[in-house]
Amino acid sequence: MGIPFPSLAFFQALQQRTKDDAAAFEKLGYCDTTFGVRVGDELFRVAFEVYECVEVAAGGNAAELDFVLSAPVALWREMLASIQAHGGADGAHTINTLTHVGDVMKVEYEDPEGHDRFYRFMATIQAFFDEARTLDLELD
Amino acid sequence: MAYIAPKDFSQDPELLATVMRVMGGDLDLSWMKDHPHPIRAHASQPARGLTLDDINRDPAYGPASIPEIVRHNFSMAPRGAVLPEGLPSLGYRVNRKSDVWADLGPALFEESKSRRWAPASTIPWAALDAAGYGREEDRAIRQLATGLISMCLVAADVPSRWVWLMNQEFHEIKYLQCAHMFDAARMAEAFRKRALYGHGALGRDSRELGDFLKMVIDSETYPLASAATNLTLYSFLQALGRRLEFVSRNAADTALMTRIVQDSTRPIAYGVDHIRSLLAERPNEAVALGEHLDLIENGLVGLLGSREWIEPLIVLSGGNVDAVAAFYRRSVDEYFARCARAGLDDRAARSPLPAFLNLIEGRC
Amino acid sequence: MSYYGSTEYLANDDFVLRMKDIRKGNLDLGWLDVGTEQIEVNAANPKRGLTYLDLNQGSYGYDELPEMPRGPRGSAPRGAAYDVANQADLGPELNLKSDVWAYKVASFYEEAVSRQWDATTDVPWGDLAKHERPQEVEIAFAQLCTFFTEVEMIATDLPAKWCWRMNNQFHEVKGFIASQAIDEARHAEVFRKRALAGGVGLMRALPQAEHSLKAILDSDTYSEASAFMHLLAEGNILTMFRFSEFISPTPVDKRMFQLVMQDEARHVSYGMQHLKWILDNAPERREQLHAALDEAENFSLSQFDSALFEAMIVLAGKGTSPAQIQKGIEIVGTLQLKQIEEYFQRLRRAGFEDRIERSKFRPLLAMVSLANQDPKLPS
Repeated sequence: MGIPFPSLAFFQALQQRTKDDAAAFEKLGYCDTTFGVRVGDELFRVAFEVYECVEVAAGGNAAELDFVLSAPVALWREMLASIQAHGGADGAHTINTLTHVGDVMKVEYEDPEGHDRFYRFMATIQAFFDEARTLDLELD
Repeated sequence: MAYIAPKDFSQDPELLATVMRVMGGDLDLSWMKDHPHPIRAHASQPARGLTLDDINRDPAYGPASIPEIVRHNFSMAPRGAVLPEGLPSLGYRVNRKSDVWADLGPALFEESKSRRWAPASTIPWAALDAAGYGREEDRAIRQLATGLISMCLVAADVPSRWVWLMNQEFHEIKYLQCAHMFDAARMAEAFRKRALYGHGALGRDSRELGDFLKMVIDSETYPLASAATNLTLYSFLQALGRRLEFVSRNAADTALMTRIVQDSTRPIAYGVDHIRSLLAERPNEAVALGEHLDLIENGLVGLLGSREWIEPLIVLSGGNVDAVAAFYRRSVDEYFARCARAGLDDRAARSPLPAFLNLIEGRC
Repeated sequence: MSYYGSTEYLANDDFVLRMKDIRKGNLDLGWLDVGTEQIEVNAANPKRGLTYLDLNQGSYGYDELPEMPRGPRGSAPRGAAYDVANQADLGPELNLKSDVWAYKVASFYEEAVSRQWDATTDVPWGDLAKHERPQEVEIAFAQLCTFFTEVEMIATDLPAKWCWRMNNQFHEVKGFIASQAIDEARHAEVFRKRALAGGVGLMRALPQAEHSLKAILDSDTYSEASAFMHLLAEGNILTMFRFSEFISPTPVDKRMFQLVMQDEARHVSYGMQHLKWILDNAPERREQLHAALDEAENFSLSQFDSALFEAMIVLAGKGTSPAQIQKGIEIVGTLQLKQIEEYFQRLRRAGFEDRIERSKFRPLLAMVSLANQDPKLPS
């Protein structure tokens, strides 16, 4: 039985990966941001402190987050399928590419400084999602 | 603004026409033919990655193409790029290869990146909770750390003072100067943390140290600054790192001083190679360098004899002045050996340091 | 120009006597008790380690550092005991906190030290040969990399020009500036390596961009240079890095841009927080900054260099056929709007929103109607 997506269990599994694969995240350096992941209508809150993901939660107030990555369920599933197929996002499915032009995935923010945290820690955030390659997911 | 554009581009019909033409789909594309030196550089040792030496093998891009006196490029155009008409001068003042070059420079830059560390997390600071020193020893280390913060801040300032004046043709040396700036700032950070950790306090500024550092940073030319900083200052910073590692009684000081030694040795290696290359190209420069070091070493004598420097060392040596004198002797010998390797082989004969050593050793 | 000190030590009786005294074991030990403040310092978060934020206490901290630190002009670190009259004057030129300071600068410094990377090993160069690219795309990418190699070194040279002129009291800023210098040297290095590893080599340098770099380097004050470079120029480059990751022809290139982007964003954040600090603490300098940005924006407009923009169009469209060029133009037009919108957002965040009405960008972009939009702030 795989981990369903979207679900809090999925983000908890990714959170655990930042502890299990601590060396990879430590090499990338400090990452201090609390951001949101909106999957369809569901919002998940993801908090990083120092090197690792310290909290994931369902729901929350988007206005209190540095930024929110927002996309339809299908797009998130497509991204995760790419990560699983390639051992990490392929060129068309990196977080930057998906959020850059055409806004297939939106970056929602109120504070440009919070927005800049998306840029400042992008390598860590990409590594966080790329950890999905190790999970047994239910993407259908 | 000191540099003013020749026109207000927001009102410029010519610019507007260019924008409209390009964005309208009428592309020129002539630039696509401007790649006169195709190259497919690769890592000679995959485990080491793609190094500067790997991309420098092609003579069109490597340092062999740099003339001794650069006359063809004062812009930021990278070495080996096509230089069109109209590139401005960025006002570089250091345009002579032998003024800056060291063949070791590219490899030292690679080494500096590879051996990165972070004082916040690499040093096991909590080991200082049981540091193993008595009260006076504890204060002695904090006093030395106070002076070392100053020394490292100035060691960061020296490359900062010169790198922006260096021609871009010497980009590997500019990269290395930036690495030296960062490494020195990181050492200053580490010493500040060492001085203040636990029940901490900074000590007293040393007038003699300040005077020595002012002499170093006020060096009139880059080669003089390089000799004073990379040969002289860093030799004694490295020596002190070795000494403090030797007297360390805990894992934090051992880890810290080991890194101080490695980070202060790269500038020394560059300095030796730089001065050696300079003297090979322009032997007459030995006169100016020798005179400068005569005076810089007078400043060093003041530092080595200042109460804020020598007394903590004596305290950390159990009150044994001979031990500190022997440490000084060894450090000076190593320094003279480096000077000789760089081509300045008369330092021992003309320097004030041997007379100072005799004084502290009780020989006069 | 050279300074050779106030004392010839071995000819100085006091010094020689001191050495003889010390030789006999007579130590003064005055440095043992100099009356500096004692504080208790530990790592607030052991996982993060011991940071400059943990040291922000009392006379050692930056919160208590006044706008005009009176006295220190030498090498003494902040909080140490020193003799005002007897210090060796290093001649610092930037002595006001608002000359250099930025909110959160200590955090930016710690982040920079923590997030260092290595262009030699952190980019999988060996994989480049595994990915086929059309020759015209590789040529356009080489032109883009030539441009980045050319412009990135300004962000080492400009901070370096000012770093050594900053008073030692501002060591957190000096540390951050040093970290920016190595970040940008690494950027120039990685783009040079990419241009030389892809089969094309370096291409054409861009005169219009160079004039802008010269204007940055020649700025009259550090704060004007920072507004121009950190906020405007690096902000533009940050958006270009995002664009370049988006249009990267290989995963190797995507990795490269992900790494450079995070450094650039840190520098932009410093610039925004420095501007905010000035406007909050030295509001009389607002007009001076306006005047500097008037000309900075003018130089930015002049940078419409056809070789660079054509290369971006070719990359965005993935080729030079009419359809590909049309697609590329649409994407590059969007990029340009995004650059200006993000610049305006940062101005607003820094408390400089009156700059937006005065900006030279709006009339020109409205005139050319890129994407039929006049860039405005989001509500």
